[in-house]
Amino acid sequence: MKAQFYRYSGAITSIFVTILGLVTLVFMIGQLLPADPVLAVIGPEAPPAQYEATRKAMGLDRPLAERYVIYLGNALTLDFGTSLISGEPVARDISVFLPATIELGLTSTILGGIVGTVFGMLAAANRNKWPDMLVRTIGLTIYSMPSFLLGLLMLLLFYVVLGWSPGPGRLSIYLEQTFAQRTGFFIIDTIIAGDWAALRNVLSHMALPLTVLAAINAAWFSRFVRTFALEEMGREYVLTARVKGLPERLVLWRHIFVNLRVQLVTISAVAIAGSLEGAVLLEAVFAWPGFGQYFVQALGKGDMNAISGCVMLTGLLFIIMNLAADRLYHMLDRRTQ
Amino acid sequence: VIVSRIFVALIGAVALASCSGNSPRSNESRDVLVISGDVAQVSTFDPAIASDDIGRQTALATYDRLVTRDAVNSTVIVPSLAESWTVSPDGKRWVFKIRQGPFFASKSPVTADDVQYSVIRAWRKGAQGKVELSQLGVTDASVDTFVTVIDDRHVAFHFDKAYLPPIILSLFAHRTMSVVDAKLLRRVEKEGDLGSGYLRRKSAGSGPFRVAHWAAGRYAMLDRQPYFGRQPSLRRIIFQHMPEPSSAAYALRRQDIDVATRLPDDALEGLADVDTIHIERGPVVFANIIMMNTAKAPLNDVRVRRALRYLIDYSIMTKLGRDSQVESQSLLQPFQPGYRDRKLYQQNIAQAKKLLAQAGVKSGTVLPLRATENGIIRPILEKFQQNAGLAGLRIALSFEPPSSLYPAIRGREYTLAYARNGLSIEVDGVLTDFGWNPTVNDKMMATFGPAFETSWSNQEASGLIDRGRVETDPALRAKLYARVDDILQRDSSTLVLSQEKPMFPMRKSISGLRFSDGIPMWAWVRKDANGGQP
Repeated sequence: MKAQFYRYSGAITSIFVTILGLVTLVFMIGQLLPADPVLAVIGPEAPPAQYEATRKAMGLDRPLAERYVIYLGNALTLDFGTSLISGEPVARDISVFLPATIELGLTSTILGGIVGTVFGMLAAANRNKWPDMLVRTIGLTIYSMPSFLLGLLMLLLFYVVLGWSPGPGRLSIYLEQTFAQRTGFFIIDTIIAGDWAALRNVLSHMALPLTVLAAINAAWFSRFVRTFALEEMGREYVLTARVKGLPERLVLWRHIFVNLRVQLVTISAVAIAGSLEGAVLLEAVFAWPGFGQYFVQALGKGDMNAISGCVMLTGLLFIIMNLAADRLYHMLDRRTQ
Repeated sequence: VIVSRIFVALIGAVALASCSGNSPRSNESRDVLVISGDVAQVSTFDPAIASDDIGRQTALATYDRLVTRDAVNSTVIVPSLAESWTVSPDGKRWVFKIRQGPFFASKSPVTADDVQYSVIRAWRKGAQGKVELSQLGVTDASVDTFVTVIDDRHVAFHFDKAYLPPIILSLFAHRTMSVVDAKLLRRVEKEGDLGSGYLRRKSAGSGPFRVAHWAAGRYAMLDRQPYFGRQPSLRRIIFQHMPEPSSAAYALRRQDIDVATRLPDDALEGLADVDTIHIERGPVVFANIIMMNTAKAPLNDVRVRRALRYLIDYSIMTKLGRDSQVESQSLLQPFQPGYRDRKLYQQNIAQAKKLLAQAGVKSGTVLPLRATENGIIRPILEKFQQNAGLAGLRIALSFEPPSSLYPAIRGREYTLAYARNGLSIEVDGVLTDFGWNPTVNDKMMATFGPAFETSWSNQEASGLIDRGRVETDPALRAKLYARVDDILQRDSSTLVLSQEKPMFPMRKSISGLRFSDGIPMWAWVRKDANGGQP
């Protein structure tokens, strides 16, 4: 009981210190950046009188230490102030942009993870044969191609040339405001609204970016899974299973795959956190109004409130994913407890 | 076999998902105009403050002004909210009569009180409107008496001098003089913000459109205003956020959007041969310039500034910028008084070397040049750097984001800086920005421009501009301005690389685009099946 208490309190302290460090780092970066947040609000052509008034209104005339204390207090209560981009609280903005990223990022990671794992296992089972060569070649091609280039090529082919895709965006602009956006997840919102035409439109807009992101994830997963599986294949338990006369399919999926779960949890955690952080370039190519776009807009405008919120969310996400992965390790492999 | 099957199944699934989900194209609607752009730049729709492209375009569509620029010839100003005006014999008092009938989107009629409120508000918001007013003698002390209400339909303006009528009329045609709904803004005002909080995401105008929806960083929608007299053919204008130019170009090719803005030259070139698209060229609205800070040696020596002008290869800009760039060493345009078609400088390294030697500049002197990327400027500045090297100068060229360069320019904390500066359609505005700075170190709060930002002051130029503003003889005025232009080209701290006009690729079915002060007026565009042809 006592040991458990120490373990949990240690974990909580570690999270708190990490977050404190993150907040401090974000604040310091904000101070050191040459970007002028006042100009971000009023634009470069505003006269000095307006500049001074805005600077004061933003509290930038106060001493650094005072600003840090205020900032720290606000950040710890997840109050990052008002975004210069929207004029709304940053937390509200994130709640608008994040569902778009989760809808695309999480789905593509799950899809890419499943496809990549299957292909990785098949490649390992057929080492140096043509399926292995094919998976490795395609995987390497996708993996080494810049994501925005891949996105643009796909858009050119499936949208401009073939006309199969409805093009950039999350929804045809004509359908905005036609159904209540309650959750921010358009698939769910259109289902709640019973607007099937809008649902079709949402799914069709999602198909291409989802395919591209899933392909990138699949390439990533397949490389790792193949390597891990090949390592496992040399172990004695695999030899024993084969000597027992088990079919190769069962050796592969019942023995080798089961022992890859811990590694899979690790790469999945990284992939999920990465996907939610936002596939920034792909979001730009597909005009996907997700968290990555919001982050980029905030950086471009020097919107320190929004930047702080985004950095904090990303940091928290990685911390949560690491914790979740740790818990899963213990569940999947009792020895690690 | 399994791998092949999975591949086939995957490709099939993607194709099915794409095809089955593809809804019918909706952009055939003739009363909705979709424009791609950088919606993320929008921070407010307040006409007194908005400084981004979409904010300015929205101000033109959602507000009306006392007078406006003629739809065909934008150098001519015609009545709009005002039906007529009279000028006192001394030329200092102007009385505008507001026509019967204009209404705001709130259904309130436009009155003289709204005009007075709007002008004073533009001054108090301290942005471009204050600059425009202060150039015509308005001060903090005089602003309240500058505009007075006579009755509901008559409003008077009191100037300190008899400025020329075109100068005064162009002031009232400026977007910052947009007439706002005073009754509404007084009601929604918070902590003395003059309604800016409300106008951040809404509009309060009497123009043909009103801001209906704004999703920050995603889209902005303007809907037709029901109480506007002459109804436009469009029902809705949508600005859609498309940060990647190639994606916007693809969407235009597929006709899913009607107009693409902010496309770089290579994307424009790709669209030039598409049958369904034509490219509309706007008027000149920018000058690409190198600002030379005369507070920093050796740029305080006119010979050095002149030497730098000989180090530019002026032809590259137009070669690289194709149709968007106009080769010019002057800030004036052919239709403006004082313009002369001439090129004072050509790339001449020997001449530059001679001038630098006369100024006593040692070989190897380093001059930092700060710039922001804009797609075509890098090769031009690199050629300048190379030529400077041949003349014995070391140009330390660096690129940085505007958010760090602009404060440096404003604070005069740079040596050389590349900038893309706005050019007014009115000659007085252009020359004031670049040449009027009678007191070099006195921070003229309302009239800063490149002259101030480069610490450059020329009493003769400032005096000539002051005289030009009230000179009634057109020939003499042209002569005065020609002299100012000459001073600017020979002596000033602004090295003009080229003039630039924006390009708007659009569907051939779009017609009737006009510009006001270089800003596109989307409200009166028509979208016809026959491409606007009779």
